[in-house]
Amino acid sequence: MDKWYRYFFCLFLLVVPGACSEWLQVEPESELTREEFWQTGNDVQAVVAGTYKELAGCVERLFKWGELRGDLLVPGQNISSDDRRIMDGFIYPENDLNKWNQLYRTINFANTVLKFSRLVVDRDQTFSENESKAFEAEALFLRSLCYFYLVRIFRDVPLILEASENDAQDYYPAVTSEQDIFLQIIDDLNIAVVDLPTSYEKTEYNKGRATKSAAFALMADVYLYFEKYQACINACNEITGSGLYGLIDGEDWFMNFFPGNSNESIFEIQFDKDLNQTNLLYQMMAPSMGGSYPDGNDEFRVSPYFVIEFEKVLSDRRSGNRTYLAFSGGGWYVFETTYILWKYVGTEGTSGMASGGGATGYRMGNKESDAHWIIYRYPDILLMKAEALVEMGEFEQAIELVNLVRTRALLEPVSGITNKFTLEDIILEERAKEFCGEGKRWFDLVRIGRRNNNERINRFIEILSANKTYEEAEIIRSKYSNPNSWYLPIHQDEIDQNNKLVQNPYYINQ
Amino acid sequence: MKIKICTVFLILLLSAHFGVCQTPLVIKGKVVDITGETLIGVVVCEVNELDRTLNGTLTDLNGNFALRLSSPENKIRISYIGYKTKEFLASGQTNFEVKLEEETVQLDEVVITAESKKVGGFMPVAERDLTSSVSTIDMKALKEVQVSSVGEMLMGRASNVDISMNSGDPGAGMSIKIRGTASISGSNQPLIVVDGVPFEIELDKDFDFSAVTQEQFSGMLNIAPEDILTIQVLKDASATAVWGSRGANGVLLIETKRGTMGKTTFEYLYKLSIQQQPKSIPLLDGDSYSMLMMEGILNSGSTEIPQELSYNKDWEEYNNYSQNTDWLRAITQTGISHEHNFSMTGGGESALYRFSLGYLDQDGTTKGTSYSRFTSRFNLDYNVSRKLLFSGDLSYSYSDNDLSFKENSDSRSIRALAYVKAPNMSIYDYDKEGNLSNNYFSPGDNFQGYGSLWYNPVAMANEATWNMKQHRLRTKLQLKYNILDNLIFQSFVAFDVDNQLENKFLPQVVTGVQWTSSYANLSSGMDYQSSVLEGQSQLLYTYQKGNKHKLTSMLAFTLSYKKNGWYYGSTSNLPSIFLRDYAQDAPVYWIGDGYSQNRMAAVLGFIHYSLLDRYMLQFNIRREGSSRFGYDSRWGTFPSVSVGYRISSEPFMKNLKLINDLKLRYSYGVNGNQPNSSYGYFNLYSTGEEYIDMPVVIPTNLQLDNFRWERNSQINYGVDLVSLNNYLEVHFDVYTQKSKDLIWEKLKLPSTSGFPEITRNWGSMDNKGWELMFVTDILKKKNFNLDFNFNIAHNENRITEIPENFDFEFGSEASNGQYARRAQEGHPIGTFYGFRYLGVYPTDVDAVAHDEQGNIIYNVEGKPLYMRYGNSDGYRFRGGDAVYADINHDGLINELDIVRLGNSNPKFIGGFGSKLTWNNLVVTLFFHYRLGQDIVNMTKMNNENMYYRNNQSISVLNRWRRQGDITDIPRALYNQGYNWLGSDRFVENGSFVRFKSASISYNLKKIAERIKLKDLKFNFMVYNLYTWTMYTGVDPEVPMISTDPFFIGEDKADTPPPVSYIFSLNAKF
Repeated sequence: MDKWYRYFFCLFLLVVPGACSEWLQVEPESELTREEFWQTGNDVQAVVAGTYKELAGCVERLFKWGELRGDLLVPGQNISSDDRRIMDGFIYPENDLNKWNQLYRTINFANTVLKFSRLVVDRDQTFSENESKAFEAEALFLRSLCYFYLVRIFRDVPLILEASENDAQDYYPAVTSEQDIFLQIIDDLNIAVVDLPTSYEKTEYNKGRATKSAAFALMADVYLYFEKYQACINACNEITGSGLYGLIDGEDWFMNFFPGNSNESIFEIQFDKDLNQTNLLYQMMAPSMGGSYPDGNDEFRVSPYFVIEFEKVLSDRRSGNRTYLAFSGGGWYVFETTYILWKYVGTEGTSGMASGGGATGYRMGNKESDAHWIIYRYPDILLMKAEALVEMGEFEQAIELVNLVRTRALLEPVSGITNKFTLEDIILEERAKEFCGEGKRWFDLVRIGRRNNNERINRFIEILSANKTYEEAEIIRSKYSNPNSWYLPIHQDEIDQNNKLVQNPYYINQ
Repeated sequence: MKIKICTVFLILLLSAHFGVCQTPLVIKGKVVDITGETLIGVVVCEVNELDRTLNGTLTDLNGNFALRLSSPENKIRISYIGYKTKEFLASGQTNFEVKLEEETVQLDEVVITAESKKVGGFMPVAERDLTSSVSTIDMKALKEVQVSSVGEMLMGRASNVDISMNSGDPGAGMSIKIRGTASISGSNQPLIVVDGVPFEIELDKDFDFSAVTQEQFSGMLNIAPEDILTIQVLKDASATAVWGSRGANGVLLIETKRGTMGKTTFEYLYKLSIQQQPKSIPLLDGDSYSMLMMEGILNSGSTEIPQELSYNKDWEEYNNYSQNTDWLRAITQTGISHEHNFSMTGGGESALYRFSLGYLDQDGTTKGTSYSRFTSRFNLDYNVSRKLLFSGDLSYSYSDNDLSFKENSDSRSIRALAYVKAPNMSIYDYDKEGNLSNNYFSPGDNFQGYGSLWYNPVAMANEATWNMKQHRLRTKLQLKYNILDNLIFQSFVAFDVDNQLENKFLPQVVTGVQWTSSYANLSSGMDYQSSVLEGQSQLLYTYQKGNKHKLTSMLAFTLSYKKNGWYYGSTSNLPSIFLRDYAQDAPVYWIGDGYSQNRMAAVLGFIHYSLLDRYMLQFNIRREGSSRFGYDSRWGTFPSVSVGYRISSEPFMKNLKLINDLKLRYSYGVNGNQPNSSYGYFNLYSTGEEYIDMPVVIPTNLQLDNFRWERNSQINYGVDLVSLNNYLEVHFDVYTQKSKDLIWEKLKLPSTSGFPEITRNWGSMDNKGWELMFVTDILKKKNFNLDFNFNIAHNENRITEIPENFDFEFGSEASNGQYARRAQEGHPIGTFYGFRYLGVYPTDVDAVAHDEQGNIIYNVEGKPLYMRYGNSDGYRFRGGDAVYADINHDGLINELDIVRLGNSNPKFIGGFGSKLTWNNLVVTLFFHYRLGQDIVNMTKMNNENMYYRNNQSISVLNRWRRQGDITDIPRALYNQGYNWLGSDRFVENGSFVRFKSASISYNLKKIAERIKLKDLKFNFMVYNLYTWTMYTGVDPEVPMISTDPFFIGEDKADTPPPVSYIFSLNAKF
């Protein structure tokens, strides 16, 4: 109130407007302006956390991108029409699954950290340059991860490395080729692996934030995708040589998913229902019982053909009641047996459980779904390395690594394979069984299809058209014979809003 | 009537003599009237040459007084209410007998003739000399119109002012549009100025409307119509320029009545109005409804008939689902309202006052709705001296509005619910034995659905509460100081405090949900506070030399400071339906608050020059600063210039007797527009949820460095003509308005930026139009008068430039219930697109594709190609489905078949009326019209789609039922098909002429005199009497709230405008 006399002074004196320009500066009270923010190391950490948080919001999308076009899942009863079209192979630019906005939001937050963290070093005495570098490395890791998803899903996408701050910037970028994005990712990760810590002070941070190993895992994945096999093997060796991770016992395999953060986990996005950090994985996968428990939405199920494949070897510790749970009946409608993707729905994986709605061991319910989203765990490193070794012609070493994963699952080891393609297929199948529903299948298939200038495109098509009706298989064959169709179209809204974007040629005139 | 006090004093001064005696002295005397009777309580005072009262006394019981004069040069003034004031110098005399003459002249009439109207608020130019476009609404004509809100009063009265009520419920807001849509962002509502102070009728845009329904807050102009003296509409940029950016969409200037000199006059007005709901669209009864539903389910390929529809007498709920309930009738009532207004007006030479109280109590036509309003106003003008005038205005209003309950913006209102609720359901619950109970039948979940879309409307009307209370206090303190005779300083400070309280309660008996559900006994409350400080200082200089030169100039400084705060909280699971307060120890459902402030300052220069009463030139320039812009773009400069030429004053026109006055006007001006959000230009960071246990902060918007004022320039040509011996008055204006640098508040941004949208200046838009208004006195006899007034306006809106990367389509995929809307260069806002509806396929085999020649198209296998929706894998059309024109003959109905269907902008709007005066009898008629606009009849769409489980109108009885049926209403198809795509089936010409009001009033002068009343008047009026229209929906008068570039006129009216019968009595004493 002490300022009131000034206003009256203004009023009665007919002052020149210049004097009132300051008076017209009104700052918000419930939010911070950029000038007020970026003062301490805590501010930097908060935006880094925001970047992770944003990525955590992408989990449903990462799941769908990695699985819907693969062959391990089938539509459930309440699948959305957009998702069904993707699964049926009818893909149009208007489909909401083609939206990339969340990933670019994550990228923008990472860019914001990269721009401002350095400035805070000068402002906050307690915030050292090394601390800043570690945060920047986390941002680089997250940005690289996002771009890696983007190039695998859309191939050529805009490469944004500047934080969006004001309206003077150009927000209408053209696309960058996947090769250039690959080079950018590798440059960034090479910095990140130096600056990232090996571990943090608590388990949730060790698994839920970027570490050196997480960056190496991502690097290995990127190199494998872009067919740089020796580099991939080197990156894998950094992890296997660190001694920080190892395969857990086959009996405890389900502990990877519940409670999560197991010894073999390298990077997984953390959720915690006690902190209201939940996702929709439970809801998408759990059966729908007409409102009563388990109150899922039954959007996606495990493919019965995959289950048959799985159950060919009954001793596999990852099969029934672990990767999937047989479910029949329940509620007021009756249908044939279906298979719930149990990794995100159940709390335990014992073979003694009854199947269906009466089964014990469901998680808390769809509003409390807090299954972690695993991006890299140790068997992935072993199998990536094995795949790279196969391409290098080192079959023996590769078989050794594959057998590590097989014997852990109580499967017979394989031996004496000398055909490269056979070995590739064995690794592919092993990956399917180990990582079913973890958002990896489609990328594994595309990697096979792309390799050596689409050398195995027929195998790629064969896998995808198996177990389909004749007509469906025909459509798939004609569609996937054009490799452009392996990438999703840019969403129509993005095309409409940015004249510089060019649609993937496969979808023009669709 | 407004008094020009200074003039009065000048006259008084001139009549006074000046003496030269120097010694102080005591004077005595007696005051009597003409008949010699002593007057008691007469004011005797000493005044100096500036008319400042220095000393005074009152006459005693014998009429005697004694007064000590401080200087013999000062005058003695003797004044008494109802008598002529006397002033004289003592001139050495010490004893006086003063005779006072009674005042015989009606003072207010004197004022009218003595003063020329001043226009434009603080722009002191007489209407005669105006060079800009201003309409004044004839308040004399409105005297006979007895409505309860200013909006209703103004509808159709001024040309090119389009007012529509947001709904027919009591207390509903209104939307006003002057000269079309000028801005794409924000509101196009004009600025309302009451007694020189802007009056906010909208909530601040920073307010978070996620939890409340916006339309209920808009347009609450809580002023009793009886308190209004004049209303002026400022239209062109030259006229609105002084009001700055807030007036860019036009200005409505409202001036309230003030005190007049003379004996105190009391006025009392009583109004009784009865409102009747007109017949609504006839709906199906329970039996035909169940039949329709079953047909729809079977047609969709399902055989699962819900038992609610199967009339199974063994089922325990049979009685609850076998009724024929007329839900609409069950929630409708006759609305009755009472209104009382009392005012007191009067004043002496130093103080003038008007005091008024009003009370309105109104029941709506929907059960449970009501509106009560208390208004009070006190206007005081006090002459401290001839040089110094002080005025103080105070007004307070309180309103208490029970609204038709609506859970949130997406849910249905009570009346909308009554339209769709299954008529086979019972209002009250039957028990298993078939006995009717007192409990509402509100199943939480039934075959129609669950949640807010399916509550029991009767229970909702009677038991749910949605109450809004508003307190509004406005004060204005003003000083006027005449530095010199032609140099005046004037300054005011005004405060406006607005407090709105909302309370909502949804008891479990309405929802029928489980007691543990978070919707059970949901209670919420909201508290919104806004306070505005408006200040203004101005220096006025006038210069006049004979009749040749007349100069008026002004320099002003204004500022405005607004603060808003709101708090919202809701709790659920309250233990009893009698505990309705949300601040309980109960689970919190949602909670939130907000706070914002913004400031504005402006300097204004103004010059008006008139030469020979013929050539007029006006120039003003306003430099305005707003806190909503960044430091560099904060100030905008907006000039305007206008010229006028009065041809009728030219010597060569003197001989033309036909023309009394003829003036040509031209104006050009630029005005600005500012964004809605207070802090939009900052790069803001706000907190989010945690990741693991790390707190999260993220940037939430982009800093705006290039953001600047939106500029609207307007050219206006006008003619004012008075001719035929003052029988005919014509005003004609043509204007072109160009809006540049349009502010797009939510312009979509490519998401690669990491932000969904940005605020940016981009694009331009035009409005062109004309308006014509004439008033004529058909008959002008001594005791018999008949006049006629007419206004018509035409406005054409056109988007001239849209952003390069702007996605001009809204909802690109046409789907059921959706119309494609496109913002396209060269097209107006409000154009909509859709399919051509061609009827219904009689049989399955008719649903085949045809080429341009009309031949059936066959596929490679030689089979006819069936019509499909969307793609080749889309829905296949069958017999009974809607036929849409396959424009490109590809056998598919998709976006490529969308054509332009209509334009929501009316071609002409206006009104006309007539007034007949015959002795003491006054009859008025008034009509209001809009012509040439297309309306999307959403009500029809919702009542004929047969897609959901909603009740439908009886027109669906003509639906297609079996193969071969020829009809134009498609088959019932539950949750499938595309029978109600946005097509011309639901587009109608919305032209209408509405018989808005007819009133008859009679002045009982003789009786009034007998019982010592000054005036006694009776009035009877019918409001919303009849509408002539081809439109088949509820109400063609669709609110034109065009706040986004994709606006289209959709009639979603639940409550048609009720017919009101109003009886009133007015007494003056």
